[in-house]
Amino acid sequence: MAGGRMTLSKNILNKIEKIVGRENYFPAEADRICYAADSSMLSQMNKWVPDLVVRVMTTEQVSAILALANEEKVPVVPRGAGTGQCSGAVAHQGGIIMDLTGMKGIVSMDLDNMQVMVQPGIVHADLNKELAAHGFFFPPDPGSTKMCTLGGMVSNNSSGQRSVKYGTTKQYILGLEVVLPTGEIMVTGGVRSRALKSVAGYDLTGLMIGSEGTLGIVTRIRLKVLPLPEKRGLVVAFFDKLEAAGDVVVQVFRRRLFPSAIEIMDQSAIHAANLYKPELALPDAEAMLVFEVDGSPPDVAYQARAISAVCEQTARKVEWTDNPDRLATLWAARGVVGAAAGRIKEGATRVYIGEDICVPVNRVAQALRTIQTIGAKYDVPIVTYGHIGDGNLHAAPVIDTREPAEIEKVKKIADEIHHMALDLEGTTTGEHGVGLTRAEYMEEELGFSLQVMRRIKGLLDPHNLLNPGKMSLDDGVPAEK
Amino acid sequence: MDEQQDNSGLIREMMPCVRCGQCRSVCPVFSARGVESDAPRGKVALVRALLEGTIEPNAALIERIDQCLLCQTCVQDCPSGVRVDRIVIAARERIARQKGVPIRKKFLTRWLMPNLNRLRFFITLIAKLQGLIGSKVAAGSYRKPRYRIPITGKRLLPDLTGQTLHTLVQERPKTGKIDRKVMFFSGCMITYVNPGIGKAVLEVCERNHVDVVVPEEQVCCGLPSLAAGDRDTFEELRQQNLAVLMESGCDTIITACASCGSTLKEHYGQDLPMKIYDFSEFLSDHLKLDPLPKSVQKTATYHDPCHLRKAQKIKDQPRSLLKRVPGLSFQDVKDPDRCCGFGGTFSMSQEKLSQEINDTTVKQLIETGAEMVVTSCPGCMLHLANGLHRAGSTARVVHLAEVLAASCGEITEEEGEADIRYET
Repeated sequence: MAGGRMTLSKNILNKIEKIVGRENYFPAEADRICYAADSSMLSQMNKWVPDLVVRVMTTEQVSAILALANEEKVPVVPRGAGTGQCSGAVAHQGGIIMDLTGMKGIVSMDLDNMQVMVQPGIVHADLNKELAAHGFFFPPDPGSTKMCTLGGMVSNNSSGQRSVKYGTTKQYILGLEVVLPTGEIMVTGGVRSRALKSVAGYDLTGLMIGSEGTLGIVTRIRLKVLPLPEKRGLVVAFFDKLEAAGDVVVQVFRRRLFPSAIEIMDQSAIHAANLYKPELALPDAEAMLVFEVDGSPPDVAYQARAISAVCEQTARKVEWTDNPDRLATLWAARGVVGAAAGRIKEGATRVYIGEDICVPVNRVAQALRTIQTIGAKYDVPIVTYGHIGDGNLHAAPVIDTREPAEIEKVKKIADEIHHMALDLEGTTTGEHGVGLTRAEYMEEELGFSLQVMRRIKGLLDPHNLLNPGKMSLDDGVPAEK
Repeated sequence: MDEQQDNSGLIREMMPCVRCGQCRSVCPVFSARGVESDAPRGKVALVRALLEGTIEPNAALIERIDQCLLCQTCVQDCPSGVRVDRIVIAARERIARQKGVPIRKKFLTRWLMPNLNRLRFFITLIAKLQGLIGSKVAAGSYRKPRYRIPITGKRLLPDLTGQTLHTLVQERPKTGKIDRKVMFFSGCMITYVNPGIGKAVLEVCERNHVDVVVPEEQVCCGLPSLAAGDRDTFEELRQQNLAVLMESGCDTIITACASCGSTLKEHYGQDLPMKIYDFSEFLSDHLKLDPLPKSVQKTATYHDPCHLRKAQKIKDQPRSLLKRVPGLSFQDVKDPDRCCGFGGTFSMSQEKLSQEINDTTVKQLIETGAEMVVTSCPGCMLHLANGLHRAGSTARVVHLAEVLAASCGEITEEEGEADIRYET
C-alpha cells in the first residue's frame, strides 16, 4: 500500500481545496484508503491509496482541477461508483481521485425527442426509475444497476443482459460534454443539437465512449431513451448438458425469434443463486438459460411459447412466467450472482480476474466447457454465468485470497481464459473494460491499432496525466505484488 | 482468545466482500453523505487496514467507524453475506481497547444503564426536573428542551411520569382465564421511559389469556455497550440477564423493543432453552388472537425498525395485526427499508447526520397522510416523534402494542371507539 504518505505540495492542496470547497476535499488517510481499490483482484491485492480524493459538483470544478493538475503534472483519475472490475478507476501512479458521484442530476428531459441530458454521477437504476414514471427507459442494463453510474457506463461502454436486442451504451449516446486533460471543455455531437442522429464532423462522441477516462472526463451526457415495452416475460430452461444450452440459443435465432436477453448460468452459478436466495429453489442442472422477451402482450406470449417449444426439445425443465414478482426475483438473483459466487465455498472469495471474455455465440458452449477444464486443472472452483446471447461470459474463480499459492493459480487461470477467448476469435473484455488487469493482452488483441490509440492519447494528454497507465496506452505494466 | 486469532477471525468475516458496491445503494449513511468511507464496503476496507496495521486509529478513522447505525440494511442486501455490523462492532472494540470508550457513551452504557439503582434515581430526578428543561409538545408525550442538553442535544425528550413499568404492573389486578405464561423482557426504554407501552403489552396478552411475568432484576440488554465497543460491560449485563431469564420459569420470552429482541436472539439465544419472540411475532405466529372488539378510527402507517425488519426478518406480522384493527385505515410507506436514523448512541455522537437521515424517512411517513405512525421500537419512536415535530407534522407516533391495547378495549374513553393513549 502506498500508505498515508501525502506527496502533493501544500500549495497545490490549498488551491484544490479552494476549488472544490472544504466539504468536498478529502485529504484524510481514512477517506483515501477507501478509494484504493475497485472490485478487481489486482487492485485489492495492491491497494493503491491516492494522494488526495476530491468530490466535484460542477463542470467548472472539473475543468479547474484538470488545468491545475496539467500545470503541476499531477495524475488525475476520474471515478464513479467504483464498481469496475479491471482496476480502471484506481490511482496506481498516485495523484488525485476525482469522485464524480456528486454530479448526479438529470439536467433536462426532452421525451418528445426521446432524449435526456444527465450528469455523470447519476446511478443507472435511479435514472431508469425516473424515466419509467414517464414510460421510457435507457436500455443498457448492467448487473450493477443499483450502484453504477452513467459516467462509468459511458467510460467503459458498459452493457448487460439486454444487449442482445438493445446493444451497448454507445448506441444511446448522442453527445457529451467532456473536460479534456488540459482543462478545456468540449461538447461533442453538436453544441446546440437535439437531433437523434448527426454525421457532422469526426465521431468524437464515439472516441470518448469506452476510453476509460484516459482522454477526458465526461461531465454531461445526452442520452437517447426508448419507450418502455408494455410487457416482459421470462422463459427459464434447465439443461443436463452445457452444449444443449448453446445449441438452443442458435436455434432460437434461426427461428427468427428476438429475445431482449439470453442469460446462462452454469451448475455452480445455479448453486450460488440458490444459496443467496433459497426461495428461488432452482433445480440442479449443468446449465440454466433465461430468455427475456418484451413487447406487446400478444407478442410476448407468442415469443415465450415459441422459445419454450425450442427449449423443450432438449431441456429437462422449462418454466415460463410473466408474473412481475417472479420476474423481479429471477433478475435480481441473476444480477448479483457474480458477487454471490463466493458463497459456494466457505471462507473463500470470488475474485474478479479473467471475468469478462466474449466469444462468438456458437462457441459459448465450447468456452464454458474449457473454463471448467481449466478450473479442474488448477483445482479451483469457477462459477460461470453471462450473456450467452452475445457470447459474453463471466468466469468467477473462488479462492482463499490469503493463500499466495491460490493467487498464483488464479493468475494462471485468468491468463488461460484470456488466451482461450482470443483463440476462439473473441475478445478479452466484452463490457467491463481493460484498465490495468487486461492491459497486457492489448498488443496481442489490438495489433497496430494500439499504436494509433497511443498517438491519440499523446495528442490529447501530452503529459500523460489523465488516468495514466491504463489500457496499455503508455506501455505501463502494473506493478503487481 | 488472543489478538492474532481474533484478527484472523475478523479478516475471515471480511473476506467475502468483493467490493461490488451493492451496499452503496442501500446504506442510509452513504445516502446522506455520499463518499466512499461512508459506504459499508469502505468501512470494511478501513477495518481491514486497521487490522493489518496500515492505518492507526486516528481521529478520522474513529469518526468513520462511528458513522454506522448498525442497522443491517447493507447486510440484508449483501450478495456475499458480509456481516458489516459485526465487523464495525469488532473494530469499535479494538479502538476502545486502545483509546477507551468516548466519555458521553461511557456515561450511558457503563455508568447509568447497567446500574438499576442509578437508573431509577436518574429517571425519578429527571421526571421532577423536566419542567425546567422544556414544555410539553406532541400531545403531551414529549418535551421540547429550551436549551441544548448534554448528550441528547436539542431533540425532544419523552415526558416522564415518574412511574416505571414495575410500579404500573404492581397496580394491576390480574383477572381472567390464563392459558400460558411468558416472560416479558421489557428493556430500559419501556421499563423506565415509556412504561405505558409495557402496560399495553400486558393488557393485550392478558386479554388473550397469557400471564406475563416482568422480573424487576432484568437489566439493559447490553446493545448500547456492544455498539460502543464495550464488550466487557455487555458480557456482564448478558450474564446478569441470563440468570434472571433462567429463573423466570417460563418457556417463552417476549420483547416489545426491536433492539432488545434482536440482541437477545443473536447473543443470548444460544445459552437459553426458551424461545424468544417479538411481541408481534408472538401474537401473529404463536397465539390464537381473539378478535379485536373496538374500532380505531384513524389512518395509520407503519415504520419498520431495522432491528425488527432486517435483524429479525419480521415485517409482515405487525402489518397483519394492524389490518385486524377495526376501523383502522392502513397506508404503507414507499420504502419500508428506510432506517429512522436513531441507532442508539449514534444519534448522540452523530447528531446532525442522524437528523439528516431521519428527515428523509419522516418525509416518506408524512407523504402517506397517516395520522398515526405505528412502530415496534421505543428508540425509533423517540427519533420519529422528534423528526415529525421538526417537520411540523401533527402525526403521532405510537407503539403497535398501544394500538392493539386500545382496540382490545381496555383503555377506551368512549364506548365503541377506542382512543390511543399517549401518556402513562
